[in-house]
Amino acid sequence: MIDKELLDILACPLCKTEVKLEEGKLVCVKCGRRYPIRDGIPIMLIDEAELPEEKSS
Amino acid sequence: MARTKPFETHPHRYDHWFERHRFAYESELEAVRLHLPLERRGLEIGVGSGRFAAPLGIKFGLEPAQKMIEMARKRGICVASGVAEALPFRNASFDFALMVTTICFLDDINAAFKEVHRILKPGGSLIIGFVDKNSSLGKLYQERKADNVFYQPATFFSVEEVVSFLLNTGFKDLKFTQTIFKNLSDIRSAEPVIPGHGQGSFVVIEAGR
Repeated sequence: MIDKELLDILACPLCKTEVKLEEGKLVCVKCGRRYPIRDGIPIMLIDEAELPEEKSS
Repeated sequence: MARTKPFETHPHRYDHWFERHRFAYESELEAVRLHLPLERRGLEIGVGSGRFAAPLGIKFGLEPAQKMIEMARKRGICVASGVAEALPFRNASFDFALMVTTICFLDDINAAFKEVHRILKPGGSLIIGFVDKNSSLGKLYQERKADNVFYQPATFFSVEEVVSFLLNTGFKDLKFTQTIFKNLSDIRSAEPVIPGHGQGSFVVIEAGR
């Protein structure tokens, strides 16, 4: 579970725009990069993000 | 990518430094504490194992080394994985940001300071604690760089260099505090914490947004 206050200030490290929690990932509202959450820790590293077209579902 | 390797391979050795050098650690904490605004939203960048954020009451931490994140979390810090050069926070999110012994492990200090400027609220402050390259401890660390797993990948800076990076990235109203005047092995009690720089090995710079 991610801290609510943290979720409100987190942003995409590339676009600096907000991210939304979707299916257990933090998704940039601008570029669509999907940042994983591991053991409740948001992994906000550009290299670790999935690009939108790589979305498996 | 930030120079995280020693912190992933020797996390406990890193964390144990603060036990072995208890008085130096307490002196550094005191020097940093003097510059922290109270009751404000703060972020420690390069929070490590939480040795500063936890006693200073800083809620949020950013850190790229997974082993460090686990330790900081146990100390109650709300941590995200990330690097200073690409901060994962919205503009004007924090009243202050703290970086203690972090600047020496950055890839790009200029990019990092620009990012910190962006995430600070107007009137906010960046507080930096570091070992002055030109101090006695700074010189010793540089001499022994090759033998120390933590300092081997580090880049040390002088106060003048850090000041120059701060001014170039838009920071102003700089204030200085210094501590650690003896060799680490000779410290038997808390060291004086005094204004200015040039004598103490550990320097704190507070810079206004």
